[in-house]
Amino acid sequence: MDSFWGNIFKRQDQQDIYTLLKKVPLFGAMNRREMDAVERIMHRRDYRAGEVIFRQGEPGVGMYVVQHGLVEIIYEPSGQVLAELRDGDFFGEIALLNETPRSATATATTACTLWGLFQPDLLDLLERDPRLGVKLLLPLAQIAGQRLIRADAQMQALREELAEHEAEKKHRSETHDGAKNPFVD
Amino acid sequence: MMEQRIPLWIKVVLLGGLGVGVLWVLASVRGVVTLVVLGALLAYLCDPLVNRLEARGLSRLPATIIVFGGISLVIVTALWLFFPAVAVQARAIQTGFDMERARAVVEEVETVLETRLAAVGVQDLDLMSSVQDFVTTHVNDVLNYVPGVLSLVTQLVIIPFIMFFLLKDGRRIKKGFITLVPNRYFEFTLTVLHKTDVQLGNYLRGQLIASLVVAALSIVALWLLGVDYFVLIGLFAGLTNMIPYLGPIAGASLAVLVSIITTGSLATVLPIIIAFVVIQAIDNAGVQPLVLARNVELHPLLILLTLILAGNYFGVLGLLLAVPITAVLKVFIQETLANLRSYRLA
Repeated sequence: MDSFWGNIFKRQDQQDIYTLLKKVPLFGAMNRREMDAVERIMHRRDYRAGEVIFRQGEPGVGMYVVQHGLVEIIYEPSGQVLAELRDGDFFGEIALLNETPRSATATATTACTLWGLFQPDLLDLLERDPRLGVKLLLPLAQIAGQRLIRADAQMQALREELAEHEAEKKHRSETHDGAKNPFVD
Repeated sequence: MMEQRIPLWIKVVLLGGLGVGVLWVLASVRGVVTLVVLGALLAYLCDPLVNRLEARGLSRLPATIIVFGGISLVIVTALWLFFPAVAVQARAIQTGFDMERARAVVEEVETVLETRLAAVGVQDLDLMSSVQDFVTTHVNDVLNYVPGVLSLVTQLVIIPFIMFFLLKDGRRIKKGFITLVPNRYFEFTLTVLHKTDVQLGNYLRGQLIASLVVAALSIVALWLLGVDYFVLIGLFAGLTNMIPYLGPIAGASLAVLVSIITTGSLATVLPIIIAFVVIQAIDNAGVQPLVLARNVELHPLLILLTLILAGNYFGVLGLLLAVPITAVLKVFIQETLANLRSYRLA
């Protein structure tokens, strides 16, 4: 009986989604009313163990937040596991900004409950409630910015490593067969 | 992966069967379907207005009430202004044209034709009786098409009712339907719906505005030219404006025909044609580029066939809805096929 009425009024679910969304940096700064509005445009999806959530190369339309379960992000075709995500984690958020092909495949390792937020709904929200839309976009931009900084730093490190490597190679080839190597200028 | 691959042809056959089944069910309850579709279309057209009010800080219900009230007010005012004229004009058609004047014109045309065509053996055309037959049978057909008063009243209540609730709860209803979509087709469905919406929204709103402008201009022009039934013909011209090439010709032809029959002279034919050409020029150069996204191209032949089918199966409301619904289906199918490939579903 309880679960019957619970289902009808969705109380438990509602409470769960608040606590879930609070954990996600994108929604952290929101009040109840704003979370309600966001919840209204999110889609709850249940996946069986082993089910594919999205495939690498497909057009990406939005992000997912993991409520329960385990999700693996897999790079194809090598099958390398890039990340393992659990309750409160989120993925695919860049697709909210750009419609780009998915860069990896997401698979439910266990039975999962996910909440999806998609670009069309975000754009619609932005039009109807620009203030709330900005509250969502700003942290998204910050996350993207942080990633860019991290990627820049990584690239810088790699570049330095490459330069070092190259210098070493040049040094080695000079000592071996002089300046005749066509690959060294 | 644990998926079983179902051969494409089985999917196609199943989908085809499903489509036929759905069509059959829809056709058997078509009275209701037309009402729902018309209500949904109106709601869809008004959605941006409600969204704009929401952006001003109103919540959905008051925003819907304001838009709904505003539109009702406009329609009631228009009816109040035009209904007497429309009613008088409709009744005038029903009771028949001024047959004496019409007879004079037709007889004149007849003698001209008979002298010209005598060489090929044409004698005694008796155009008058054929015209009379045509007018009485077909005008009655048209008027019988218009639903009876009782069903008209129910429709006038039901359509706004459907429109109001779709306007208020459309997003939630759509979300409910999306919940039913299997995981494999979930993102694909979202993408198709979104892309269809982007293309169609502009197209349908553009068509509506273009039709309203053409109807208003035609009414004014025909009124200035002193053509009888100018409101009805103007509305007709606005409606048919959705049909490329044929639409404007149909509007102009009706105006010319009515003017000849009612006045018995050819004096206003040229001014009417000039007026319609000017209105078309305004529409094509001034209105359509502003409001119409050209990416929804419907072939005139396709539209013609749809009109015939819609008129046959769904009556006057069907004719009204034929072009928008064709556009909806076309864009939807187009986007579905385009995205099937990128989601590797086919």
